[in-house]
Amino acid sequence: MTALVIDDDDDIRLVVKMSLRLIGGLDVIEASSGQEGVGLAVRVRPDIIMLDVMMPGMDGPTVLHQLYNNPLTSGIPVVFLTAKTMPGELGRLKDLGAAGVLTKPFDPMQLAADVQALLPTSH
Amino acid sequence: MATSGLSWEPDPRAATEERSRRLIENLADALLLEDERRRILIANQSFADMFSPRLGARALDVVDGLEITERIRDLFADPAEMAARTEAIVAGRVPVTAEPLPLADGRVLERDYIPVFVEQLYCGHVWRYTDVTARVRDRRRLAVVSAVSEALMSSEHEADAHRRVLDSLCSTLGWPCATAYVVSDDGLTLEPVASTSKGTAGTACHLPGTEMVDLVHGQGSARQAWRTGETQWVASIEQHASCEFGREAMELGLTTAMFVPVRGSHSVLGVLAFYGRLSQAQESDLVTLSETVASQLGQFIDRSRAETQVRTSESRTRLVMEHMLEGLILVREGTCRITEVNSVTAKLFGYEAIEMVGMPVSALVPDSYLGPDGGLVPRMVTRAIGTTTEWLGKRRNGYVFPVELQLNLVDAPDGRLLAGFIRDLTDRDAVDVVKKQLVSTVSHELRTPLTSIRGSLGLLATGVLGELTPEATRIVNIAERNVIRLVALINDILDLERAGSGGMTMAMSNTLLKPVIDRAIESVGSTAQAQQISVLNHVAAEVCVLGDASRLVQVVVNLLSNAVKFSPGGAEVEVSADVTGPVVRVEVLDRGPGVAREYRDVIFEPFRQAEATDSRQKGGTGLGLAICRAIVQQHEGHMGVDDREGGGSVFWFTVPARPAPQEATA
Repeated sequence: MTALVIDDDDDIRLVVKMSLRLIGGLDVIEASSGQEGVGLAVRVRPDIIMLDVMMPGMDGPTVLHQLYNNPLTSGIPVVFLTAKTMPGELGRLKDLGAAGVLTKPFDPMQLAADVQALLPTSH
Repeated sequence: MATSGLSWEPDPRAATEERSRRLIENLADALLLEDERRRILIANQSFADMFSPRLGARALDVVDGLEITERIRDLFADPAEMAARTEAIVAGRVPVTAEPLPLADGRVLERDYIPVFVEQLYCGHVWRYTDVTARVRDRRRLAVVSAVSEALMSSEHEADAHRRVLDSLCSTLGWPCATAYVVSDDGLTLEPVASTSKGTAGTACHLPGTEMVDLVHGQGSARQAWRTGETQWVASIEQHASCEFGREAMELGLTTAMFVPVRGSHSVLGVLAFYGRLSQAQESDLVTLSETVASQLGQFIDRSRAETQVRTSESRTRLVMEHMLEGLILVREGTCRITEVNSVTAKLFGYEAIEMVGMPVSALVPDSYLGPDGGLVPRMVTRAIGTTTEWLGKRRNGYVFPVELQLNLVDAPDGRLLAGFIRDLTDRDAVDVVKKQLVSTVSHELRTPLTSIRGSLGLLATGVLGELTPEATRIVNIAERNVIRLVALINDILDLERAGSGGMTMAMSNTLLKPVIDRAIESVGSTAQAQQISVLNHVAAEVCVLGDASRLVQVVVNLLSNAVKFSPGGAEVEVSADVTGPVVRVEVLDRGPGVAREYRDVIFEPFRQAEATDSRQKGGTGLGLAICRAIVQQHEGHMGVDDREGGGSVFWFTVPARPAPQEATA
């Protein structure tokens, strides 16, 4: 199982990567921008994508839109990781079609567990 | 001239000599019938009475008309003129009616002369005299009073009014000069305010000094009029040494003076001083007339001063209005038209203040406030009276902006007005936007580094990065616990900001309370268990409220956390709910130390815990209860804390009750 982590913050990307790999037992690949993430997703076609919302250049919702409009990536569950906690904001992200919305900061154990729960079972 | 009743046409059937005589005797008019040689045929009683001082008791015995003329000639103001006229009239034998005859004592008579011809032969005449003094006096009084009224009406100020009144009196009554004095503000002197020398043609003269000299308290006729409020008539200036300006008057040949007090409703306001050559006989008439006019003047001054006072007060009010920082608008209650605005309001709405007067108030709001008739919806206005409400205003250019309106109903003398104080909220709203952005940005910027720290510490604590020594584990746990607390604080600040700004959205629905309490108990379960505290839910299954379930869980979790935190190990924490009329009162009962009376209000304020040390000892952010209260308030409820019997606290809040759904009661 492979997870793609798209986040412009190197530190957060590393913590997410270690949590998913060491606790969740997933293979993790990373992208530090939305554009790189979309390219990697098309190429590697991971089982789940962890996507930051606010990024310079291409932001999370645009990445999600591109992934869902590409037949090669449209089936991959995307989980938003956001520092925004307004209920309205979380609802809006869910409405965009994300499989889940997790808030920062997170407990690594809980993150791994939540991601496991969102992984497609058919694999 | 009513002469028809006296027409001299002998009626052979009815006019016997006796009857005619009796008729004439009893006439109110003074009649004198003379034959062609002026021998008196009849002189009636009225005639005798009219001239009695000169005719004596046996007036009617006189037989010669010429003798009568001679005896009464001195009664007339101009005896020579009178004698000449009489002679001419008798010689002319032409009827004369209403010939005015001024008497020396001031009275005025009217005389008719009717020659009598029988078959074209002159055989005598009738004199008829009528005393018209009262009529002439009334006519003159009316003329003077109306002239004065007119003068006062066109007067712009007191000095002007005084001058006009003096002019009217002098030109109609024949005073050659006059001065008006007013009592000074300090009440110590009479100050000249106007002078005139407008007497009838040929009589006018100027009395030097009168227009400049103040009269201080002391002796003198003018001062006596001021002191006593009674008119002083000086028949002879020469014999009246204390008469003000007496010497100067005599030098001008003036012999008489009159000082009339101008009385206001409370006191003597001034004195009118007249100098002239009028006779003693005119005293009573002049005094009465002048006093009437002075009283008119007094009323004018009273009114004028009251108006000045009102104007001063009005201009003061206007000054206050203009210097207010808030907009002020006055609107007539019935018509909803603007009667007055201050410059702040005018500027706010993009008009000139004068343009706004008379405008319908509906022009100042967007169309959404208007009813089908194009006017403001009356209910919206009625609801706003006596309160402060937020509205949208519409500028002249159509720009819509937020305003705060404090509306009051005012009983004005000319009808009821709505008085509105308007504050532009554009800036406040802009500040709100900035504040929201700031809170949102700061919280986001804080969360990003905290995510790395929290995640890193979490990874260390789980041991997946390698086993830690016991000391290292302890230190990592401390760091992790405090990061969690920091995150909680950020979340609370965000929550409080949202609640305060109304940004906390509530998903209100009919909600069964028992499951809400169960979820809250579940959240604090592990903490309670660690302290061996049991949390009991006594809420009946059918209790239903109107509320946002997740927000209510948040409130109860907060109260339970506190209850667990402050209760001694092994204690019981209980949750109960009572339906009281339209509300449900939810209570969380603990066995903690209780809350001292003086802290019962402050603990619901942000960052206020009952004791300063609590925050550190018990790990709270100091915002929990403030957030709870904000949430409860958004449910239109109240929140508080009481003592619990037997020790501990009862934290309670109210939420709107709803009828229980059927399945819950079944």
